[in-house]
Amino acid sequence: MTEPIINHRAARRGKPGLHALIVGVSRYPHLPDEEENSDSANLKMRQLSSSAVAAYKVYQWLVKWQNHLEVPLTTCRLLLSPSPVELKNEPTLKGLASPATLDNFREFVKAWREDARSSNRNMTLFYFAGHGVQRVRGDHVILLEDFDENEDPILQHAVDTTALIDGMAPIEGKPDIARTQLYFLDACRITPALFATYEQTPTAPLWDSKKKSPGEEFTAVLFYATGPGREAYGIKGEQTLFSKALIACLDGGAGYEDDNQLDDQGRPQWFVTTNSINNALEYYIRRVNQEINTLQTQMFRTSGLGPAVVLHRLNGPPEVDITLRIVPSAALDFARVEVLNDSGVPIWDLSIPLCPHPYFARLAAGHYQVGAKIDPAKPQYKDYKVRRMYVSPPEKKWIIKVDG
Amino acid sequence: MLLFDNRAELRGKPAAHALIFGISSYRYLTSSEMQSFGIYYNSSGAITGYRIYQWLIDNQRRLAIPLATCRLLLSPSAREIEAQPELKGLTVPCTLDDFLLSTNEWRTDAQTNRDNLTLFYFAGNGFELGKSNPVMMLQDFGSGVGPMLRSSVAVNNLFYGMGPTSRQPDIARTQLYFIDTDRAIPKKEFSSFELMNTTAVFDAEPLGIDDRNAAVFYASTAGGVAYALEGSATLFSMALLRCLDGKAAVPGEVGPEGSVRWYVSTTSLVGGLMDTLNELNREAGAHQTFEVGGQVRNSIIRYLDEPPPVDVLIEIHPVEALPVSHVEVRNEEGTIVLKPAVPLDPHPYRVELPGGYYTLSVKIDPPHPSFADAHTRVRLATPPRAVWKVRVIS
Repeated sequence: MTEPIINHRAARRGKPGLHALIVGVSRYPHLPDEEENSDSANLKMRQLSSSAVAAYKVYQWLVKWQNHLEVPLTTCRLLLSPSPVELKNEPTLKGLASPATLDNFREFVKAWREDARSSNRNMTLFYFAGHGVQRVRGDHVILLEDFDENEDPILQHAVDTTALIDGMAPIEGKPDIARTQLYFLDACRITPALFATYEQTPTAPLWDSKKKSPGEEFTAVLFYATGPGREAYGIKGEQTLFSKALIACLDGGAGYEDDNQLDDQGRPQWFVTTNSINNALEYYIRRVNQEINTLQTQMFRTSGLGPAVVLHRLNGPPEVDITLRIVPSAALDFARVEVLNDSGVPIWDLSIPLCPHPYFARLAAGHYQVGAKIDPAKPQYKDYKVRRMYVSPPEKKWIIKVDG
Repeated sequence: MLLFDNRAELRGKPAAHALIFGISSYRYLTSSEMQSFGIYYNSSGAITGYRIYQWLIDNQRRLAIPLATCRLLLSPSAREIEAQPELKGLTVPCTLDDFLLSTNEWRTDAQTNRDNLTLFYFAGNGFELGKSNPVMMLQDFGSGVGPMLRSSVAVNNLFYGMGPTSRQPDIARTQLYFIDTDRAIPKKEFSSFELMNTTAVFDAEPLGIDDRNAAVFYASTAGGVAYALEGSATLFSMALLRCLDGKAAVPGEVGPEGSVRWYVSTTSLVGGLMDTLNELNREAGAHQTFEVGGQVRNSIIRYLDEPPPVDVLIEIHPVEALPVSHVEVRNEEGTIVLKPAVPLDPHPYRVELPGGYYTLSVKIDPPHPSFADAHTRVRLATPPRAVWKVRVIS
């Protein structure tokens, strides 16, 4: 059974569509429990507790925004292997999707490719959250539910993402396939020490590697949750850091204003593109890290960027994080900050002293005027002349310098 | 050839180290052999390398990390020397041995400080050996000695050899690669081989954490062609230099004094390259698109001394309103910088303005039942082009 959980093929027949495959694996029955204090595992891996929810949230996002996508959602396939804590926190996951075993993955991925082949104007989206490893430089292997480190071959229930992506290229005799492909790989990229004892660690084959069709260009943009050799993290029972940051970007945190495209009111429209996600992801990963008060340093990496690919249109200007700081802070008791909108109307009523300091708030993206008056006048300080500030995602820092 | 050396002055400080190859003269390749690889006569590799070198020298103090070394290896064609006589004195062999020697010296410099920046530019011939396996061809490629691909180098081998390992823990963490070659897949020539080996530049060392910000800008996508203007530079290098000179500049945060410093970064370059390349595509009748691989994360490449010039297009909608639409553009100080005659001619109206904030207003005069004044809006003019559309429907 490889039918998509969302299927708008009939309505979209003959038109380009987005075909999504979303996979989230937290339950690895052959790995120790997350809390188990066991060193028996050679790879030091345990079951996970946030990957299935992460995948589910990405799925929910697609459903919610399907009418705003540049290429409308036509099919979405979902494979989930949730952990008990995720099932408790998110009961909807129970029975929602087939488990993310190798057999299911293979069937789903082939069916997904067939959909992608219906037109070269299609777009595809692949999201995987779960365990991942790196065997050699440049590769990335994702582990499916039935992965068992005691098996031989050890990676027989794992898939090489390079083979996955290569198999999605236009090939001789079959040049029609989605020419825009997005991959979000939300998994570790560590190289377990055990791998040094192997000469070769073959993964499960997905398909034959056929020759790429010469002269047929296609774009595959890869967003990795982390850098080579690094771990990716999750919030227990909730979702992964990367998925949280990614969804914040998709919800508008990576908004990009296009003055060239106006809405009915004559206002520029806002979009999210591959390049704008790349620009904003680092900020949101840092912010999520701060929110959950962790010192984990997760860093994303991107590959395959080029001309911006528009993913979807936003409803309006997105909200942007603003940090306002008075310099020097000794002037706080005298500095009255004014923030006016595009029409000159005050939008913040900030009392003296500015509290908390630095002042943190969110504002709709757009143009503002910011100034500060020293009240009462002090010889060591001066007014900060009203200046225009353009607020655009992901964040803006306003430094109001009033020392004389 | 180490043409620029400022290591003594920058000792102990983060520094930029550049390595540039420009190869147009291939000793053993005839044009028919090139065609069998799916590539064409390269008429501009050396000029391109030289222009990149010139730009680096001219802008060494504006780089985010000051330039410490620049190695330049150029093998120009006779036609290039004719067009750019300075190349004659800069001509050196660009064989495999020269490549190995200069990349190893360059890597040694890169290893001195993790805050270093490296820049690698290769303009010459190349092809795609397999999926995601671009290859650069050196001057002595095709000598007939050794395997067929001797004196060609895989970009991936170079890239991974520059990664942080226990042997080079302090290697530059910001690295920029520009591979300005074709990436055609030479199907016919290679189909009779089971395995073909390029020459390794570096050994593969044990894997570790690779925390580099390392972007690889390819002048073409896999299977694609990189174009050049005969006797001049490649389209990609021209687009790149235009972008670095301001077409890909973005404004930084407003500083404490209220000033904005414009800069070009890896991600702004990704954003600006296509528009600029498309301009050149139109001029040259070419169709070229670029791709960025590696591990992209934002890093500032250079700062600008002043706001970059921006092409601004003003469009009034509907066009029937043009005879009564009075356009006015004011700068941040409130000074009128543009008040074109009515009706706007030509339409869309094109003007070059320094990057920055402007207030655009359109008044309908005399009043007209179908049209209304446009809401005065602040616009930010950023390169390469700002299109300001205004609706005046009542």
